[in-house]
Amino acid sequence: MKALEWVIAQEGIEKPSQFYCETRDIAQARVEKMRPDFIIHKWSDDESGLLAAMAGEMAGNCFDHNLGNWPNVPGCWFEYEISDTLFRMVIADRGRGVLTTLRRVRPDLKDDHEALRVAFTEVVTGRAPEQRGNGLKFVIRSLGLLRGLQSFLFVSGDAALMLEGKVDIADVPRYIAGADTAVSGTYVELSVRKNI
Amino acid sequence: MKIDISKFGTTLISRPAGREAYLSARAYSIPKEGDEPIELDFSKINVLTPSWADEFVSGLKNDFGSARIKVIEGDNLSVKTTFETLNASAVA
Repeated sequence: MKALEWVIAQEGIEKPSQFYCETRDIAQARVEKMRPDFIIHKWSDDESGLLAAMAGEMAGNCFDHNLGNWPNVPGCWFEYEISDTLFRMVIADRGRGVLTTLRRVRPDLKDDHEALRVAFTEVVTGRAPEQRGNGLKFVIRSLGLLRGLQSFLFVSGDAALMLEGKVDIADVPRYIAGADTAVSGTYVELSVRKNI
Repeated sequence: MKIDISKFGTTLISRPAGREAYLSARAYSIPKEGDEPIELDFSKINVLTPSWADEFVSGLKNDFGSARIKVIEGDNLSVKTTFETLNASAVA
């Protein structure tokens, strides 16, 4: 089973243990395991630190915004591969998605596209009045530093942010379009080539 | 006084972990008396996220005042990018 199949499937689906993290503790332990894997494959401290931090932020989001409110299956899918030349990661959840989360504080948001634009460009969080909302801005800032970025896909609802190759992160809204496959939670895919 | 943040771990990711580290630092690492500057030394950290840093640093700033808290970032790119992100949102 692939992450996208898991995230769009109806209830009663298989939960593959090698990727499924029912709780935050499991997801965090897997993020912490990334660093020794990067060292084995001789990735630089800068690249490995940044990629692990991005993974930590995005896996944390799955729990931060859905804890106690999972529509059906709790937790996240967390999958990564590291080789001597490539890094690939998929993080997905069957939560409420960006639009539902942000509408708690921005009821004027009209659709998934606008919700993604706000999530990636404004410091706003569904957990206001807590001072949060920096995670996805950090992810975007980090993507701009990765010279080996191949692709970044973030889907929520029927909107998708798709970045390929070296992109101008200051112009993120331009890269938001309709998703090939809509998901009710979130689905993230990242691919990076090692910068030797 | 200087707090070596690596004593809380070198991969600092989640909000709950940052909150727990803040509570521990407040209880055991910072003197109750005095007003000397508090230096937070991140130079031995391998992985840092804004979530962890926000819980830890913002908590200490709220308790002891921003003027007393000084962050030593070191060279790690995830640390530098984390504080760039947090500082940018504080300015916004």
